[in-house]
Amino acid sequence: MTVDALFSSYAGFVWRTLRHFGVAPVDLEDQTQEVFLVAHRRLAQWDGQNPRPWLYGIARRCAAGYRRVAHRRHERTVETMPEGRGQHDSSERAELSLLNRVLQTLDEDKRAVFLLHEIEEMSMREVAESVNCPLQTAYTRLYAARREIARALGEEP
Amino acid sequence: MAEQASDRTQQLLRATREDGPSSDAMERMSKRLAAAGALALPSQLQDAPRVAPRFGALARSIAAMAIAGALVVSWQVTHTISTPPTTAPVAPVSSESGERTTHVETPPAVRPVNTPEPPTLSVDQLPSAAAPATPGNVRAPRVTPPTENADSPAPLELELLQRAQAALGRDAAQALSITGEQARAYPSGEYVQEREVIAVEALAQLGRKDEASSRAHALAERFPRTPYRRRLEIAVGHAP
Repeated sequence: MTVDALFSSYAGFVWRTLRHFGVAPVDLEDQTQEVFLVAHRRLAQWDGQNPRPWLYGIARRCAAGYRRVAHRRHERTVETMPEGRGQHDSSERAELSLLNRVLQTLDEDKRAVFLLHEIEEMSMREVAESVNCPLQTAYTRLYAARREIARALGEEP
Repeated sequence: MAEQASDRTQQLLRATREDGPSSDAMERMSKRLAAAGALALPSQLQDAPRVAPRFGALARSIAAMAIAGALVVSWQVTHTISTPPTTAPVAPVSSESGERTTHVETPPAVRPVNTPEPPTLSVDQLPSAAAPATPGNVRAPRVTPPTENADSPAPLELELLQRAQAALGRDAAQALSITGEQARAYPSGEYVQEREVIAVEALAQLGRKDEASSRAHALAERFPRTPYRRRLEIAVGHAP
């Protein structure tokens, strides 16, 4: 698989992954680009299987590097939202904001599994590979995440 | 909801899933990745594997924009190509930091089959690797900007960039020399960041650490949100 195909197919996935790892909206474009630059450099070492777990690992490390650098720079006020494809009305935006806040309350392990399976619709096997844990552990984290989110959204009886 | 998300949550998850970069953002990233050599050249995009349906149409538009963007300089410098354009003019691109703009006058269509290949510049025509790299004392370039020499069209900025990138792995001095050529021919070019990153890496490989560090710092200062920060950090051994 070429980097062109990876970019065309998974730029959105990388974008969302970086956002969930805490990359500021205004920096998503640059960091998404960085992920694919890294993918280009490491393409020869990749076995060509399961592109999303591979890109997820790169994105996670890029986001970690971004967070290390970000605290050394002055904060910029984001006055406008970055360009995005989602077109939501105000009530849906409010609920999305709530969902994002709830997701942030999860610990990183549960949040990662939940996002990769529920939002990115990766198989649990792919998810386990991405987060580098046994399959059963991934399932345990997913169920725990679902319960916490349901509780936070007031959906648990 | 222990085992299955509610309808409401499913709806929110679908909405989250639909979020992603806009088509403009995809175009910008695609262009810069192509300039950095991470994506194929525009002429090779047609051979790329079929993309996922979600981005199929988007990928085709990106390819068209990349082709138009990469060929526009060829249109300006090549006096033998007379194929009329068949695509709409490309809108000017403004960068996030306001540091660079691209003005496209008459973007050509995809080059017809019988049109001669754009002029190329052989490595032998480039200045020797021993030539000084600093702008202040370089000798006159053999390659002139497009408007000055009608008989020997200058190489495209993108072509120079890609030559420098290709040289980086085998001959850092030559890579550095080519970035100098690019800087002289296109002082306010579109690929300033990419050029400077290659120059920093070449300087680092040549053991000229102080110069590499200085240029890396200058690049990071001029483009605070450069996507090449990590690459600069690797080259010079510390954050720029």
